[in-house]
Amino acid sequence: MAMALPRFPNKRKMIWLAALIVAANGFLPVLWILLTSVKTETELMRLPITILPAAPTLQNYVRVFTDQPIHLFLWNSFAVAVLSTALCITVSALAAYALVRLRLPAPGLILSVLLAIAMFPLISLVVPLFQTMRSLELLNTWPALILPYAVLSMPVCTMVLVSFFQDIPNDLENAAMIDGCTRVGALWHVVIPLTAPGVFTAAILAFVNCWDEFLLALTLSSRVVKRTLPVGITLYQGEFAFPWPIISAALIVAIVPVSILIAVFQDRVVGGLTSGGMKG
Amino acid sequence: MAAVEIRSVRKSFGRVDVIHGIDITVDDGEFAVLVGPSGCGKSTLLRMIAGLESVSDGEIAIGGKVVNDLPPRERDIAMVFQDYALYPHKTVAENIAFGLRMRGTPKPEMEKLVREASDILQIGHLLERKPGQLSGGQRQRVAMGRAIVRRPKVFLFDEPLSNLDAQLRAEMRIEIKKLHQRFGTTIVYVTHDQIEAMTLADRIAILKGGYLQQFASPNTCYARPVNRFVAGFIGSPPMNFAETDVDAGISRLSLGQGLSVPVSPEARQRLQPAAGRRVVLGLRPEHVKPGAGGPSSVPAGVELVEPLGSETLVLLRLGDALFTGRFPAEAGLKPGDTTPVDCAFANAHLFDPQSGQALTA
Repeated sequence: MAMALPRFPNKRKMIWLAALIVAANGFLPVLWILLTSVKTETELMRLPITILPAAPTLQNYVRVFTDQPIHLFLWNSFAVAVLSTALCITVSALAAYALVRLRLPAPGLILSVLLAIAMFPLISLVVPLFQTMRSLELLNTWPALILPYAVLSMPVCTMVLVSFFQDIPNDLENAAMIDGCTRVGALWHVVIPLTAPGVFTAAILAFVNCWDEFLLALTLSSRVVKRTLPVGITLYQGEFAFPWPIISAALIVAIVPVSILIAVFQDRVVGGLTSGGMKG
Repeated sequence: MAAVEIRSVRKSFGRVDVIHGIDITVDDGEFAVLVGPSGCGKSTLLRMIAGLESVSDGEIAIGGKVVNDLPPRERDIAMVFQDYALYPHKTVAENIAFGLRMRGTPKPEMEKLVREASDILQIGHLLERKPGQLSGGQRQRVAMGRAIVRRPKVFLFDEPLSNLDAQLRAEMRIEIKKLHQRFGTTIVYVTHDQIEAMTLADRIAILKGGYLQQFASPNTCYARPVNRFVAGFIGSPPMNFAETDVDAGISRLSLGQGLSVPVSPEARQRLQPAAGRRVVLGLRPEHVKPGAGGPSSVPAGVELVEPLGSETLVLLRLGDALFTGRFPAEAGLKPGDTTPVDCAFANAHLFDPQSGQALTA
């Protein structure tokens, strides 16, 4: 009788464990920040360490909004992220479409170059970008951040969109063009709606990239009223003091909008939209 | 409505030439079918008419206007695709109305036209569904609805029935023919199925390897094929071919293995171009009949019997040649039998063995 091949024991359990580690890695720090944000500073520094706050307080959140103009930071971050995401998706969608459909020479090479651009360390770009923005007199303006953010997210967004566009049958666009669309019209009326999951995925990636970015924001915006959230949060720190509960509360204020946004758009990320238009 | 003129049209993809100068004029209101084996260039030609492929050389005119440089949307055509190409995110009504919407048709008129088109195609009850909720046949009807609703100058069909089962295909074939009779719009229809070509077309353009072989009515293509390719392509089961040496007096045709078939005096006139030379003889299965005592009767070995209900196809060995004959339903034959067959050479076709060109008119 043939021996059964030895199999990895409890494969499912191992997968669950791996998933658990990944989830915990992301979730536990946020949970810790959340708990810290409702503790007093005294409680935080006390030993032994308490996990749950002994006397939960919202005072830190009040301080977040009174100590610094966080509403301005939020507004700056939101506007910069939305506008750069819109710019990035528009250009990436056109680029991805061109790579997939327009019979360009060596589309694979172009994609590789895009990937290489995505690998540039940001720090190497800071000085040239600063010089450029100063020459353009754009320092301390939204465009100083919108333009580089959009460009920095483009390689990844283009690659995501290329993989989605490749799944759209050519004849759907041909039908749209015969029905009266221009090529761009066919992209807008047919390809984009059908690749909505891909577009939202790319948009979320671009948005989160902008929302989190610190280095360029710090370098290109020195005026307080033009600061974005990641930079603004550092203002809660004093020269000698680290008010961790207040900083934690500010971090929660930064995390919540983007979490809501992702939760809302996640519903739109539904697959299988293309089923039924073609045979099979 | 409009004529479609294809003048010396060529198409190359890089260095590969796929269409080598084709001239076809599809008259106003005509139903023309482009037919040929895979890779013959028929779909490419259709896509050039649609504006989905550029024309490398030559001209395409629709309604007298050269359209080479016009985008598809300005050619006033509609196209039905092999894979339906319905917009999966839109309902049936939105699919049908899309072309009207893109052309800025007012909403009440748009609704009226969609209703009319869906009534003609009997899909009125499906208007609110998405394509994913439809069967293959229903999807094809929606695709046709999308085409007819705009009343374009020309309909283009790209193998529209090849994804349907045999019964549905026959049904839709009738439907398409009815649409043509109703609207009288010029149609260019691509298929690889010669039965579709024969049943639908006013004229058939037979293509091979990017060259036009013949452009004529189905009956002409069947009765007077210009070359061996057309003769073999049109007709089901296909024409029988055999290379044969003909004597100067055209008294006998030699089919190999010592088999020499006598030629009747009536058939001699037909076989005149073959006198004293080697030719390819073509004979349709209906001209290979059972029968002893005929002028060209010879015994043939039965190799295969295919009963079709109304008739029986019998594969027969005649010398070196294998001929299919149409026999009555109750032929009572089985493989291994020997049966007398009569070849009606008065209906034979003759082709040059080298060029394949027809020698008979």
